[in-house]
Amino acid sequence: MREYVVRRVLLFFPSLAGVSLVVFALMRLVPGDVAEILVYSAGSEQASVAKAQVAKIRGELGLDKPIAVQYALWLKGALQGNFGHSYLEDRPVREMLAEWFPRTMELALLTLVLAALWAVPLGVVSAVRQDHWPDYLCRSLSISGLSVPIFFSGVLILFVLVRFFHWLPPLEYVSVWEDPARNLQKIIWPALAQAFYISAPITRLTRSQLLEVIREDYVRTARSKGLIEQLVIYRHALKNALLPVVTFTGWWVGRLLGGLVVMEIIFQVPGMGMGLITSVNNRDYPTVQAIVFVMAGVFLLLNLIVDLLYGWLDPRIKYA
Amino acid sequence: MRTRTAPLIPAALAAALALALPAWAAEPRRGGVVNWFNYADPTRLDVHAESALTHQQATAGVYSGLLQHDPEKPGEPVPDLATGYEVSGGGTVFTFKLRQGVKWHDGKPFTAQDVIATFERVTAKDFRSPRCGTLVKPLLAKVEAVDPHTVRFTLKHPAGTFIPSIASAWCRIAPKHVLERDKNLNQAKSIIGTGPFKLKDYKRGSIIEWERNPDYFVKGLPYLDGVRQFILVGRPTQVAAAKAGKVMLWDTWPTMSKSQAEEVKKAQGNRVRIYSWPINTVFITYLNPKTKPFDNPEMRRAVRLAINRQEIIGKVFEGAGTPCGLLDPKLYGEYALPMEEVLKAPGCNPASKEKDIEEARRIVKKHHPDGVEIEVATRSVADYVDRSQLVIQQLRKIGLRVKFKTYESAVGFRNWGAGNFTVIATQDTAMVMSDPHGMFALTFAGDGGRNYTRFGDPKIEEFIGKGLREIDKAKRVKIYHDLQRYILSKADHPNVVVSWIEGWFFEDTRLKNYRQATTVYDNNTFQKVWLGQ
Repeated sequence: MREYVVRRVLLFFPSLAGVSLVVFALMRLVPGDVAEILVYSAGSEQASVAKAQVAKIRGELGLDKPIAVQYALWLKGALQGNFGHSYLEDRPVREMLAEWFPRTMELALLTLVLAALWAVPLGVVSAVRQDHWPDYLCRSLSISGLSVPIFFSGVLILFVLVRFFHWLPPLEYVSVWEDPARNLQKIIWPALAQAFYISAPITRLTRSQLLEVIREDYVRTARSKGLIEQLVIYRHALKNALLPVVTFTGWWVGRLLGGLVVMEIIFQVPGMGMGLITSVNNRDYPTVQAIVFVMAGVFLLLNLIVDLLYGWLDPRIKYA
Repeated sequence: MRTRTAPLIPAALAAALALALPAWAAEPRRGGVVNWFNYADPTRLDVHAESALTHQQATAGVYSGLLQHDPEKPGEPVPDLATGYEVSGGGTVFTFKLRQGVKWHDGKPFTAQDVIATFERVTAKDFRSPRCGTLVKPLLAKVEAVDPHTVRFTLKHPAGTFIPSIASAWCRIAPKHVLERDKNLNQAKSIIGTGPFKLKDYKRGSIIEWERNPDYFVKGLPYLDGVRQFILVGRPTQVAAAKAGKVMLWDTWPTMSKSQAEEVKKAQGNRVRIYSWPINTVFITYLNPKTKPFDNPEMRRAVRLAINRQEIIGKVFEGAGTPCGLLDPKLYGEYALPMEEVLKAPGCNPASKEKDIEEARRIVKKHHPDGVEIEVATRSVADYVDRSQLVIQQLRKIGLRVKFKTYESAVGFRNWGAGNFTVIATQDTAMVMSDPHGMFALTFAGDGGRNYTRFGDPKIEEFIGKGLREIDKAKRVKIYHDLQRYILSKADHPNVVVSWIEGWFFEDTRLKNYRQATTVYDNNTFQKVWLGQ
């Protein structure tokens, strides 16, 4: 076990460095850089002046240095917790991440709680009433969650709120520490829309796991002892069926860090996703690299934790 | 030395104007906050260094200029921090008298040194100032303080654009002490102005708030307690906010479509007024004269004949636009050629469109009997892709085989700037001021920032130079008329003006004394706006 943990922890760092290298290279392979965007999108300067301006901005940002040098400088800073300076916002990227990360994390966690609250009971009903109408209904609901494009459910929520309730969530973002009620009014809607989407695989996973477990011998034994069905399902079957569901849901936390971008834009939550899109569009390299680095780091960390938790949650699991 | 005093609005005239206004305008109400929106997060707030509307709008009410565009008669430069100016030296020396007793929002006194610091900054060799700097740098020889409340500008030559430039919403006066302390105006802490409002808060990605400046130098103004700009990036969110009554004004870019405006009207009823208004933005199709087949002037003429401007305006802009003209008469008044004359130009007359298309087909057939494939490109923003489809459809009618390519905005601008295109189906250019010089210097001068074809014509350059240096209005009108006639007669010019764009907007009927400006940048200060019951 100890050897496995050490090996996994050691693998964590090369994986993170790999991700950072890929992102660094990709951003530079995409045509157009921040200097060109700034100068050519303004379009107000004479062509000859514009060219000189592009060269000047590139020089100021160090974009005229060889890519390997740029990467080495960035990695050195990142390892010291200094992700560089955003040209787009003219402030340290670290400061931006400190604002965005908690907002996206909050939205992601609320999304997962709502998804689990909705999806697990649906999966249970579906499994317990297999091939009856509640099962069909629950499966239809989960399939519709997967089929409806995520932006559509977001816009639909806005439409329903305005059309039928003449109401819209607050337009400005207020942090949960400042005003929890107002914060909830703002983020409950994107969380609901996103939860509807991710609840589909959770429902289906709960259903399939439960169907497998309720055919196990120990469940049959519980029934034959005369336990009532509810107790059999909730105390014996569900507890064991939920293990993959818990790990799958945990994996979603990492995925949601970057996956909430559409909801953040529609419901105007200034988080990591919105920051990523703006930075990519403006080729704000340090910010893009930092966001992806943090997202990848959290993702890898969660995978590591989940893997390690497996052994703790299910003592039958042995690490090779 | 000829000296004259520029026309100003003295107190008596202002009083007369006030009397002439409708009853509601005569009794402004104090108080209230206007909810507005900004289509993007400005992130950097330096009005001298930035170029997008989002940046200008963020701090518009915080700053003042030496002059401003009259909020009640948009398009007319009137004194702001200056009390007036005198012109001498054959139109090359402008002496501005400054208001006395004006304070910056941090309590420090405003003096001529602040004006000097501002204009030295925007014209500095190493400082990139794409709006104000681009306007004044080519004109300005020297700026100096005559005394603490008088500033003298000496120009390299007389320039009809100087006063509109000084009144531009981009040439705002910043405090010298803040420029020295912070080196730039990017962060909220640096946003200290003398304008009607103070910057109260800027929550990045969420909201920009202004609050009334109690020490504003125009006594009794502003009427509002504040203005809130919600940062709303997505179109569905913007429309939903309008329909829910969460914003009171949609007055500028990005414009609404007519159907969206009607949706807002349906949701809000008599609480809102919807209208269409030109946004001083021109839609041009560019043909690269350095690549085949448009290195052939005849082929460029064919495209000019083939483009059906009226169809594009009807289908894409729901009828809101002015076709073909090089200047929009609604904004440029007498500088613009009358539409009757414009519509006689090749390819512009809707009545002879069938004949034009026939002629264009004949030209293409003559030069490319087996047809020719061209690449038509656009940036994938706003409604550009929809517009491009219509342009492509029209090009196909004359026998061109079209391959359509869309580029992400950054890549598109890069390609246009480097001349890597055959046809740019659509590219809008918003004018910074409503002086005719802007349009021609930007899009028709060989080195113009928005002349992506880099097509230079010595005669056009000559007209542009003459128009810039002339200060007599009647003479300028004649120069620009001649220039427009010349360009319209050049049917093979690779920059094909399709139309001037209008947009649909709404305003809450409680909002009083707000006038749409002649550019998207002006009159965003809310200086004289008030809220009715």
